[in-house]
Amino acid sequence: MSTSVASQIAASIVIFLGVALIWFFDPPFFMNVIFMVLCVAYSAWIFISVFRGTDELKSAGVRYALAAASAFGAPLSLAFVMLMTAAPGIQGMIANMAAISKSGLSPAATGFAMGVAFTVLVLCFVLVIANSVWWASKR
Amino acid sequence: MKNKIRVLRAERRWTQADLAERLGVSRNSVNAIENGKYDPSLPLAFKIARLFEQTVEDIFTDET
Repeated sequence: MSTSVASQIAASIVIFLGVALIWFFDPPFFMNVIFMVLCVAYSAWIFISVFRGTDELKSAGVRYALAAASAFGAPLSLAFVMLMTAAPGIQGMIANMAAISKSGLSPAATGFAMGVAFTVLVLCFVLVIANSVWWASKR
Repeated sequence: MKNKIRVLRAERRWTQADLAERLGVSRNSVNAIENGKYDPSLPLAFKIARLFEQTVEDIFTDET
């Protein structure tokens, strides 16, 4: 696994935990702003590292993984979220999560946030698989 | 695309790591290029050619 993909996974986990932190503990507004700035900075950094990387094989691997995540990950994540909404008991679980949240989000907003979070996770999963396939094909 | 980087490297008694360092890429890149699993970009192909003091056409040959 390349450094870029490893850092992308690490950053995705941090973003996921950051969203959970905001959602559960309702931190001050400036904390939310700092978090958003970090997310944007991370996106810029990953973009630059992919296209300005010193090693072109790694860079090509990440580009392949990003293409796969766009082509297959995006529809897959949408299908996954739609399946999640259709699954029995999910709506009750979301309502329970909204009830225990300190940020006072409605069940609809909680469901939306969970959908976004799962989309990120599925995209990240496809990215890792695609990058692993790339490296396996180059050995 | 075929290439004779492995032969040229062996003539100079360089390891893949030595060549990678001279080219400024990873050893994995050199390995993938040598085995024909990855075609280098034009800038890297020219860098390889300059390093071995040959032309790009001498080092890389199209299989088709």
